[in-house]
Amino acid sequence: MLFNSVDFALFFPIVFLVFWLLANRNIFLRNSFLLAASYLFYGWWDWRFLLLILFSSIVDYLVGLQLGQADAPAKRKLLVGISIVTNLGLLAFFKYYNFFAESFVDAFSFFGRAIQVNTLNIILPVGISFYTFQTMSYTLDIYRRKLKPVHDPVAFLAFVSFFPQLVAGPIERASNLLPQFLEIRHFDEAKASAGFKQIVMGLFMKTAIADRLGLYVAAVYGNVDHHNGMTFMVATVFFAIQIYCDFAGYSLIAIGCAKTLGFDLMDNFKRPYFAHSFKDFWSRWHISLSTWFRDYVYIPLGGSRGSEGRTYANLFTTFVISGLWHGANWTFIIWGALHGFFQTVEKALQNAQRVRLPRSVSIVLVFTLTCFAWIFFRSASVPEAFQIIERIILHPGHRIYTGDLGIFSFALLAILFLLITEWIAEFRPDWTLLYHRSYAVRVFSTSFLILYMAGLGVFDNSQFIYFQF
Amino acid sequence: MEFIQIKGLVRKVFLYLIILTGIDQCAGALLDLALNHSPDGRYYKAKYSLEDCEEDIVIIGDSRGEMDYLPTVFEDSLHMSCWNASRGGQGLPYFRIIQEGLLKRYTPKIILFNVEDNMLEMPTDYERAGFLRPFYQDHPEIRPFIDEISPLEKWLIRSRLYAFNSSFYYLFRPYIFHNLDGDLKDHGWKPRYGSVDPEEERAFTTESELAPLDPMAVQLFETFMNRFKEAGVKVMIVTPPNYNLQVITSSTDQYVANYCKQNHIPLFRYSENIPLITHSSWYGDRDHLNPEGATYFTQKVAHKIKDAFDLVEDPVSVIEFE
Repeated sequence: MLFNSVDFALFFPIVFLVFWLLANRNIFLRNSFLLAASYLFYGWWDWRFLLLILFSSIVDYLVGLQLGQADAPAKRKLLVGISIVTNLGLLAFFKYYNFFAESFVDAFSFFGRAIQVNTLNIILPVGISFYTFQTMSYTLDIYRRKLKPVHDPVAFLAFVSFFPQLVAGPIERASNLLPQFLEIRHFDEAKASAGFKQIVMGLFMKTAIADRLGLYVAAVYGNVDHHNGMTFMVATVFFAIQIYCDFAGYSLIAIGCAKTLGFDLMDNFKRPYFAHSFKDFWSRWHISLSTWFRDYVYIPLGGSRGSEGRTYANLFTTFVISGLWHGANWTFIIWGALHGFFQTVEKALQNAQRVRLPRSVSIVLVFTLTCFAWIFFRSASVPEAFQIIERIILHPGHRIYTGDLGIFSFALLAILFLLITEWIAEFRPDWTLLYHRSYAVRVFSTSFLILYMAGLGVFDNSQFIYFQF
Repeated sequence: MEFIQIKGLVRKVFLYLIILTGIDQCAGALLDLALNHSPDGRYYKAKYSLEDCEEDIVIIGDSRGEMDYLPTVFEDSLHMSCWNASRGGQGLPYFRIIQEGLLKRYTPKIILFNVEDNMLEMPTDYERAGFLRPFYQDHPEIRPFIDEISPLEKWLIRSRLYAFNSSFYYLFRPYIFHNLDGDLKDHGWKPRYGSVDPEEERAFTTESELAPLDPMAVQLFETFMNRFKEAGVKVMIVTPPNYNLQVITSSTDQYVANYCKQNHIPLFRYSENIPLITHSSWYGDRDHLNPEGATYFTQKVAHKIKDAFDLVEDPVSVIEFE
């Protein structure tokens, strides 16, 4: 079920009302209801996917219980190994099998040997990368003795499948979210109201900005042979904003939905294009994933505890894995590698204390390089990405394709609107109209967003980009 | 206590939605006013096609339909009134909507249908016809087509502001810049000024690719033709020229040619006519004729239509351009 669908518009108010009727009466009943609602939400795509999430949840629930009782290091390692193998195994099969099989064949062909490997016709279950990481963090935290296992299976299953953040995050840590399933919840009107506003803002970012820009980006990137370098530069900047608004919009809706039900999810984005370094960028972009990789990949690899060279290698490896997490395609791996490279160079320059740029120049530089990496992320293949880069460098042309002038001008308007709201949120948070102290201003600004969406939003039932991951 | 709080919130949300609906309806009424008084442009044209047009000949097509045929030339040579209802970027859903809008009110004598060589191979895109949403309330005949855009459409269209979704640029532009979509005296024709530079444009190319037909497009095409046939309207099909691109054949071409043959529909193919295709000074860009080229081309088509009428009372032959 998509957040921007009629189905969800009917589903959510019912869940909201029934949840609050049950909320402070009986935790078991409330969690059972949330679990049923979440499974309905997820099963709306394909009920068969439910078997996977159920399997992954049961394995981690049982592993968690066993880990709570086991003291022997070998047994603990075995148990956490079962959890990792199960979750990564599901991910490897459903997401990466064909990619590795095809890459294997390509590698052999490159050396002049033809081999036959059968690919499978597999449907990628929506959100598998998100919930496997979330449920894995539970067993890993128990293994590290940072968390006690939960005994209530319904609460655990509801935590893994919690519908607001099930398919595209934020990837919650069990230590933050799970205890919230074990508490009595009390309705708080101010919190619910803040949640609804986040939903409105998230829908605005998705329909009025991301999908609006997406029309132009799809027209340009879908027709690589027909556009010049300048057009690709514009389309890439548009895509940078599109993917941000698409994903941050989704996260805001998820956080807002959870908030109306009294749950607090972590922030996932903090105006990433105001980042003045790549380190800063990754502390603002997809925060739940970057901190996950920091805690469960980078630090276990050794983090920054070893030599300088080892630290750079760890950093680079983490980003390559992060790229692979995004998708089974070399374009994503190169995207991740580029970010790893940018970070290592940045760290090396900082260590050498060679470069000090003014903040505004750093922001522009980081944004430009981020856009460069987005070319790989958006392109259908690596050769296509290089073709686009070649166009930008060698054939910039002298005219930008605008397509339909109406669509293009509304896209520019959307960017202007985003720039203003982001600037206010970054530098003048007290000016934020949506949370202004005046009731009239709050109502006016919320109404403006809704009416703007009605007039200029794109409602083509499009998926959120991160669903594919 | 909590129940009362929730009840209070629900009441507030309900009240808020009522106020929002009121604002939406008021905004919609103002936009309706702007549409109804549009001095020219695409909304004027759509409104005229759906509500006022009573011309003998109506041209239906996409941007090439809009730019390549001059109604005034048809009027002068055939002594029949003519309106060009074509719209750039549009396809079969739009053509069907215009058709229903026409047939609801009157029966044109001739429909000149501009068919692209790949029209039935392209996936049917209802979204493009979405710019006709403002007419949804008053024109029940267009509803089935707009509803096809997405499952949300039936619900969203209840908002008057949504009915004008993304239309503001083209709705208000004619109030500031006149005649960008054609002068009213040209009866729906939109000129494409300029010329192509043969040095920079594509070299002469031939095309004979047979891509699979889109079943939905075929179905829409057949319904379009049948509806006119049932109403007793004579339909002429024309495939327009592209600069330096000779379409030898295509799946659409083959299908349309067979259809025309079986149903005795005159078909004029200019998409393979070498003199027309290679005459660079007649093109505003590689896909559209400029006023000079459009005038010449329309005269040729007018001549063919005249022939088709003079040939027999009830045209039964497929006419190919020599």
